[in-house]
Amino acid sequence: MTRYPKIRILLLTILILSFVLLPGKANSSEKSKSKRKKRSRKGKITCIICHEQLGKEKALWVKQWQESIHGKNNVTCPACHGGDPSSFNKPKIKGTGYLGKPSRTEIPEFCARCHSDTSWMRQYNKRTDQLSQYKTSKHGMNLYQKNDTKVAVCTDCHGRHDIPEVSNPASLANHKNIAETCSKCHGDADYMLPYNILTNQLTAYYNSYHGMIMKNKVDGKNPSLVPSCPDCHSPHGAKPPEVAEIANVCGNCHMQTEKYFHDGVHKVALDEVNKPRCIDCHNYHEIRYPTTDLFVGESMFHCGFCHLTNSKEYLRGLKIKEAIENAEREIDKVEKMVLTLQETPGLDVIDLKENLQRARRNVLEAVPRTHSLVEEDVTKYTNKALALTNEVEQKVEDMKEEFVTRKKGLFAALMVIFFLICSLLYKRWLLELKEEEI
Amino acid sequence: MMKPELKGKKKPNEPVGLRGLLSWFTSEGFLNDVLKKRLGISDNLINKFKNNLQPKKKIHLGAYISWILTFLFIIECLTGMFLMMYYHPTIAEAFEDVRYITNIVPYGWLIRGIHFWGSHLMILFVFFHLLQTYLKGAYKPPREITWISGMVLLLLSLGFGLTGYLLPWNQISFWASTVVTEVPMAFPYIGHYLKLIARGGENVSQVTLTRFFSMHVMALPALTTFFIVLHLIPIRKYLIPRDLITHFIAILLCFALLISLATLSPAPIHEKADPYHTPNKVKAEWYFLAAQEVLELAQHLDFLGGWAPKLMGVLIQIFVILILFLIPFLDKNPARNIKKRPFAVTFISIGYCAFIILTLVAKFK
Repeated sequence: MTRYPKIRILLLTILILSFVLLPGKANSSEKSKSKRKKRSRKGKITCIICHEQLGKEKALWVKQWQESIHGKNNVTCPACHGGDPSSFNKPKIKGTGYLGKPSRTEIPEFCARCHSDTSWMRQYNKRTDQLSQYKTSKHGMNLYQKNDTKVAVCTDCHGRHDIPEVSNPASLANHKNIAETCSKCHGDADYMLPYNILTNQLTAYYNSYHGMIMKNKVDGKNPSLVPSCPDCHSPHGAKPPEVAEIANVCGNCHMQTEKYFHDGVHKVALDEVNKPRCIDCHNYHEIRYPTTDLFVGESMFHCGFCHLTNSKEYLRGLKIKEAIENAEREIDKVEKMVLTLQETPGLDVIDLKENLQRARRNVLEAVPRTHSLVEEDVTKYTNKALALTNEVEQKVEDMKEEFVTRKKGLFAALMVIFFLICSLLYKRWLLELKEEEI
Repeated sequence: MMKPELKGKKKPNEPVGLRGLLSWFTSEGFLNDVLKKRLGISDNLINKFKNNLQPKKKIHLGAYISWILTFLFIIECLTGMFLMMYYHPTIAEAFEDVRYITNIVPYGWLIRGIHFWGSHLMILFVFFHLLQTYLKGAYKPPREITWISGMVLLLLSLGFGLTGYLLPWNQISFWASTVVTEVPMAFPYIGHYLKLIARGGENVSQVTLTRFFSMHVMALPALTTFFIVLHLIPIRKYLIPRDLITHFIAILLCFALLISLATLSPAPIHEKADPYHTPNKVKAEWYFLAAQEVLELAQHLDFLGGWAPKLMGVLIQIFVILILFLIPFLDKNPARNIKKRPFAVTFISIGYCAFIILTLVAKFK
């Protein structure tokens, strides 16, 4: 035993080290696993290696995929196109599940393999109803029922290999771009000829109040909050809203207005004769900012278009118009007075401005109530606005008066001081005389 | 049992009765019964006072300014005391309190206006007083202490302006104070600590407001009173000014100017301070504009690199103040007549011209 102490120590050291290094070995086996994984990725990369070498458009697909949401989430070529990319030899052979390039008819189902798979999409917290919605859309119905391949499929709005996330401003389906994307087909008169539908939607939309906000032409309004095409027509289940749906579609955003519309007499008429819908007064696509002018006149979208100008209903509309305009006029007038008063430093107009804002809010409350067409509902709020405005006007007058009073007070104080100074000068003069006499 | 009268003991004064009280309101009664008999003021002092009532033809302007300054300090103390009755130095209440004082408190707008304009006039007259004293050579021996205490009073007046400016807690005051309290950062290594001391934290906040308020109403008035006394001790024989009537007229005129400004151009209110909304251009009060401009001009020294430009801007100003402090010791010319002191006159003229030009440039650019 003692003959080979060095060998024994060496063996012992190896034994201890092997224990110590065992986890390290395990780690290295994990590493090799991930390496294999990487290799399998490398296998996927075989597509890339070839396609990059093929150059031109095929190389561009690779680049586009790398920058896409799929590339960033490691959803690689076989996930869509199938096949076994681990081999350079015959990746397209049968039995490897290679799908190749899908036809336009196949595309929705092609994408839906993942996007309708709830268990797969859960990790990305994304919706999975796109295909079912698409099938109910005009696009989907034409595709599946009429085999019309001219209709929009997934790739037309989202791109093929270059698919950014919808929230990405570069995405064709982004809220800011979607109107332009829809218009690529819907604005093309030749393309739309077989369908017999209008092609001026985009121009009309950009002329509308919604479109102006979207184009950042309205101060203080957030473009991300205004509707674009999919907000009214649905993103995947796109088709024009039916008569009965219109109020609901508009009401998705204009909730207050919808409520008052449902309370009013127009809703009864809508149920009976399918009129008036929102679009009958406000137009569609080219929805201008509504003013009280809609209550006057006989042209389209105005009250007189449906009602006789001497009818009870038309006159009621005029009264509502007058109530709102009167309140707005008064607020504008008093606001000018407040702004003039503000120019005098030291005069506190903070409360006055707040009250005017409250008055404006009351008018804003009154405006959706015009849809109920109950005069008292509207005047209740316009009267509140007028009361607040009158209060502010009174305060402005009081402040002006007080300022005049202050000036009068100052004049009186200056007179007293002047008198005191004169008295002191007189006393001084007397003292001077006395001194001279001495 | 009757108490025996002590011989030789002075007989107490007889009660004067209501008739006696009425006699106090006559000039003779007031002089003899009140001033001499009851207040114990000596004939000597009364005669001096009477003598000072006499008009004097040669009274220099400086005498009026110094009394106007004293008057303004008293006015600031009094109006400040009234404002404190309603003001709470918290960021939640300060702005609303100022509005309450201006809108609700009877004559609150006038009190606040007088306090506001009084501070401006006080600093303006301090600058005048400095110039007039300098030109008159009144800093020369034995008046060195008066000059130094006067310089301290100038800095204290500016301190009043600085600390009082934040108290209304409006947008302008908040951001101007933020800019001013950023100035110490010009000093390398210690700048950050100086800023922390000034603000009581990284940002202008409640701590800064409390700090500035306590400085404004406690430390600075106490120090100012002390230095006013120190300022006046060497010239105590002039405490009763010659030609009292003319002095009184000057004070009345100043008061008239003060109430006119307070009425016709009331102290502004602005908007409540919003730390998350920076105004486009933040300007300090007029008396700090020149300093602000020097700091901006110093930025052109960026070829010095790093913190040097900012530091230079601050050091230049400290140097000027130091020179002013040491004037009585640096100026060895015994002459007081300005015609015999061309160098000294040129120095102050350049100084004041630079101050005015820098202020105007900062104001209108």
